[in-house]
Amino acid sequence: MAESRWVLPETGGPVAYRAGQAISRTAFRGDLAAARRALAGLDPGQATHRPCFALSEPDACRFAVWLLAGWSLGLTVVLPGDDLPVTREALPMPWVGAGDAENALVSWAGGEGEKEDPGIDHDHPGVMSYTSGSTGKPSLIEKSPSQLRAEAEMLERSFGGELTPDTRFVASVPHQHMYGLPFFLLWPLAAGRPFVVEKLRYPEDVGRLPPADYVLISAPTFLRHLPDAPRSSGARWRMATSAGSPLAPEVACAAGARLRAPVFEIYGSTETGAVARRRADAPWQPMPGVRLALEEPSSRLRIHSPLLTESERTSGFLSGDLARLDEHGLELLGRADRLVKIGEKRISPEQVERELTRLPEVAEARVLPLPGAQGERIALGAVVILRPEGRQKLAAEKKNRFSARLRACLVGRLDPLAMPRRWRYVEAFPANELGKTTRGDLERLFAPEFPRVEEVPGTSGDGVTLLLKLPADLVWFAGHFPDLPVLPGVVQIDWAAHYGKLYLGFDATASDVSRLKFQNLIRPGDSPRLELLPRRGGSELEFRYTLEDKPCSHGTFVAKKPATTP
Amino acid sequence: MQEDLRHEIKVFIIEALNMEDVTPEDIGDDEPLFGEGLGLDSIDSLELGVGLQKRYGLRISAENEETRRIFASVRALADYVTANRTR
Repeated sequence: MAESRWVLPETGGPVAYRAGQAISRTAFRGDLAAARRALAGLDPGQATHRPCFALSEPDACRFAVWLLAGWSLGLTVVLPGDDLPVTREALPMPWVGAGDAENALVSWAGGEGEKEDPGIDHDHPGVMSYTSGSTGKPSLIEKSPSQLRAEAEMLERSFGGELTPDTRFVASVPHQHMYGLPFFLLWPLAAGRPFVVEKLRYPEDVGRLPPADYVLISAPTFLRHLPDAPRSSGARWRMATSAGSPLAPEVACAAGARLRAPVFEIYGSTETGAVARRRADAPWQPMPGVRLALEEPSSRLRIHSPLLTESERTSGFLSGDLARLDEHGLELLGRADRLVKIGEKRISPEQVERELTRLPEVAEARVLPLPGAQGERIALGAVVILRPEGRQKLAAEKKNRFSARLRACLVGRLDPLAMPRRWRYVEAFPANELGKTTRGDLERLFAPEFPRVEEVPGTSGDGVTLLLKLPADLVWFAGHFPDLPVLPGVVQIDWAAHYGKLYLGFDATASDVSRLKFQNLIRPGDSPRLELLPRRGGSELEFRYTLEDKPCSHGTFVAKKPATTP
Repeated sequence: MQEDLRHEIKVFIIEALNMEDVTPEDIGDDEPLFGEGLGLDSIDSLELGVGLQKRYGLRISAENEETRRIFASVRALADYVTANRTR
């Protein structure tokens, strides 16, 4: 039923911008015609049961051309997760796109196009993609052009009011995944809005955007660094979206303040498309046409959405997310299956535990996500009970060498994002009065012993000034004075020795300290400065802690081996 | 000179990525930063890229192949910083 075209409105405006140059509708059609000719001559091969090709094209506009050309010929477009050799081997259909020269089927000379866009069968399996496979079993997802069209229209209905007619779409996320594809490519194509071919990889890239209105299609990892973006850009932001992994409210607020535009977090999945939206930590609001229900007694969220396939639409899609629903909206309470999202990927701590216990050194393992301070990345922590041979090895070398060795055994078996970052070796798991190991007990094993450190640039002389950010869960704040946690003096001395060694190579321990004085307290959440100043030709190291120019403490280390003086 | 810079970059990596129990001596100059070796991942590459650009006034292009080359090892990073730094 090749009835209608996919790109609908004839706005007269450009389809996209490449290197600041507008790509007109006519040029886009010329490319489309060239891609159709190239695909018509393609041998789909024997290996697959349906005519298809794999698309690997980093240029977003050409990707769109290949996609629409494929659809117009009734082909299924396979979207590989990457273009690694092993993926190419696993997908035996022809590969198309700039990924390799062999398959550069077309020279984009800007030839003649048809007057109208070619018709498309909206109900054929237009796209095949794999869910992020870090759970061990990636599943195949099919989407028809009409499903994707419905999502594009849903997005326009939900957010179109935030945009001006010539607002440009720009993305920091890949366009071939099931978030970037509808949000960054299909929404603007369907709504007759232009998109920017070049991706934003670093906040600096924002500075190179020519003056215009923009909408940013992004993810938490990028948004967190956005406050670093140069202010020189002429970009006027209308809004931003974030999806893929949870967006910390403080990151959302900082990014919103920097853009001077609303930041919408999107809840959705490859299977369901966009489900709900929210700002900062407000309750989630369902997208237009989406109806939510709770599955009892599990409290898993059931999603009724116009984006589902016909067969799914009768019963709705049962998600793996636990939720609460009330008159204010939706609250998400985590995954029913313990999956965590790291860097937009689904990671299963249980699978990491299974892989760890396969190692001859490991008896038992518990793996848990450790949220970073101030919206930093989530890292996996591993609490490990070793077998006797593991204990021997650990005793024989530095802890981090041993951990690196365990990690190296997991390379190739786990996604890099699923690798545990922090390791604790215990005799037994902590247990409460009922003999249960709670998540909180395990988390406490990872209470940080050191602050987060930033070097203050432009320090004069041979010294160094560090800005120390003290997390509230710092191990030193627990215990002693529960009502008035302070940073103990002995810890301040230890840190000074630690950072003196790290930054200046000065060898000293806390016992080498003299001329010590404590003046003011340092508390959780404080960000004191630590100045480290070599004295007496490097034979002594003076340290000073200050809090907004208020002195907190100071002292001097004398080097173990005094410098030889004549 | 290069050795100082390599040490500086190691300290920077340790602090930027919040690596526990790791000292600069633990990181080999030619040890691969990704995969085996230090085991950094795609989020780390963004994290490091942002930090290094700020600190040394670098421009690291969005092109993946180049990024892979620059982040191959501490030695490769230090050489890239030396050739391209503006501060």
